[in-house]
Amino acid sequence: MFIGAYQISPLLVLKCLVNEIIPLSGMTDLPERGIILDIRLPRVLLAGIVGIALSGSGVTLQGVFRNPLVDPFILGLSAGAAFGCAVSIGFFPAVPIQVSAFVFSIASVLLAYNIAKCQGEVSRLPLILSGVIISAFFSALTSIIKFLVDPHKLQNIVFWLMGSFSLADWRTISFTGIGILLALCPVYLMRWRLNVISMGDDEAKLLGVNVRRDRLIFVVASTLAVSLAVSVSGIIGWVGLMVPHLVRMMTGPDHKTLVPLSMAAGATFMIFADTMARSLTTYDIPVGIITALSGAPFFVYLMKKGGRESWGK
Amino acid sequence: MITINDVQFRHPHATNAVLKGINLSAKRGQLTTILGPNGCGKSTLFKCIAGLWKPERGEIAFGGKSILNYSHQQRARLIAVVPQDHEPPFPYSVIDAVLMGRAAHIGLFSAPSEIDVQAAEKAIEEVGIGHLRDKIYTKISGGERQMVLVARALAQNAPAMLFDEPTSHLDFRNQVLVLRKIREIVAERQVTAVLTIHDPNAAMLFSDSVVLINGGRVVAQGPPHEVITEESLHAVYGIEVVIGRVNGATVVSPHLHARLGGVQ
Repeated sequence: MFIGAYQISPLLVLKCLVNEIIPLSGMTDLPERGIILDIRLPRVLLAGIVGIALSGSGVTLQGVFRNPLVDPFILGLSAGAAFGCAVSIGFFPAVPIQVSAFVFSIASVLLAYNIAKCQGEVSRLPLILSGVIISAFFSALTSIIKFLVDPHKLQNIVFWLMGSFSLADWRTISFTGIGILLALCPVYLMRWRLNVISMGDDEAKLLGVNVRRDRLIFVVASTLAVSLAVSVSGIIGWVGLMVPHLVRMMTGPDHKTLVPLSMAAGATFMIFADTMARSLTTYDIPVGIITALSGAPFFVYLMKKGGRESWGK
Repeated sequence: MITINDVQFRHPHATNAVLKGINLSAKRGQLTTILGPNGCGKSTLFKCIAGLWKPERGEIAFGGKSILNYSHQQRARLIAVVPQDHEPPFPYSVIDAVLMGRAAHIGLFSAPSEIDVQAAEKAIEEVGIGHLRDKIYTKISGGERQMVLVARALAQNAPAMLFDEPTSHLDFRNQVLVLRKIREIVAERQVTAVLTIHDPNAAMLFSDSVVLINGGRVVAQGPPHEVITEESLHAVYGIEVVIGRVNGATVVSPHLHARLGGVQ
């Protein structure tokens, strides 16, 4: 929190924080206090919470869909959120972007789920397929809106889609933070079951798991968490795919440890990326760009080093 | 004891039934093998007993109680299933894989307790793969992996066990090792064991009771030497066979000079 456009020494940051709990002398009307408590602290917290949501859902869905290449947006969630944002900016400025993005991201997953249901019992492959269909559909709709609106609004849409924490304040944190943590509670508690479910539908059933119910819980919980995260931060890619991977390479695939560690690592990575985003240049670069830029090379390095080992090939 | 009474199964939208009224019983402490050619319905029957598919008619009971409407968890506490070799998506360790057998005994919001870990470790020792405990499950050999799946089923602690062609991916040596281990377990734990298999020789050597299936019907059930005869195998597989005795054991060999017909 001592990094940023306005120079504040680490000691002063610490003083400001301590001052909130034990009042120190001479701290009443420092401008730094406002910067720390009302701008930087909420932003760091929000980045952490969003990191937890993206990475936690990423690891969950990778287990549920038995595929290490799945990310939290597999069921069309990001395309739905993008459309929601575009609608709000383009046509209905009265509706807050957050609300519209949240509603449409949930709606897109619901739609994908129901399309998969057409075939009887919902299983893995139809679900992923219908996610792809829904993504394509909403992306097309978003493109239409981008095409229709005036350039200024277009710029807003594009900026929002790249993801940023610049609008963090205490109200968003309390609302989304509690929501995300509540949504991820069942995931955390049921995390060991991901091991069993990742063995495949039939095998999990034979081992005594109610696959249909458990998978629904996992999908609903991660969808809620990611929708909330996306609604306040925009679409930040890579984290949900990459962080669980990195953690899996380091600690192995047992979801009992993998899930909490992925959540923690997601938060750490996100805070780190956001710090880079706001301090590398005088502009506030969208953090989605940082995650992709820093993530890709690191990932290549890890793949070369030990990736094949830990993927069991 | 597993009893199957007049079970009929048809795939959705299919006109012909795959199982046309199957009757059989498997006794406690015995290894009952289901033998039959490709497409005879033994895999379908296996899936029906395991509860993955539901027969359209008939009754499947364990210890006199129908298990057709049991939940997956209830069934998993009665019947442990050893699937064919498979490749899990993530490189779990052997102990993690065996622990999954405890799923039916672990609450929805819990992780395995010390008791579960002990049960898994005991199962690993019992199968004789203690040295593999922390190895990566995807990197051990096919025979070892089959043993891990057996250990997983043992950890499930169920009074009945189903084995789905446990030797179909294994080499000659491992086939013998796995089947011998299964026999040992059945005798020691006094479980009701049902095993599907391709090879009449293996069925002859290792089972207490053989159920010969063809075209969705049971052709014969009884002790191996009564069910597996030159006549019955000719009727079911459509090839001439010779049954002889080697080293005290009865073996089945195809009659090479007779006409074999085309591959079915």
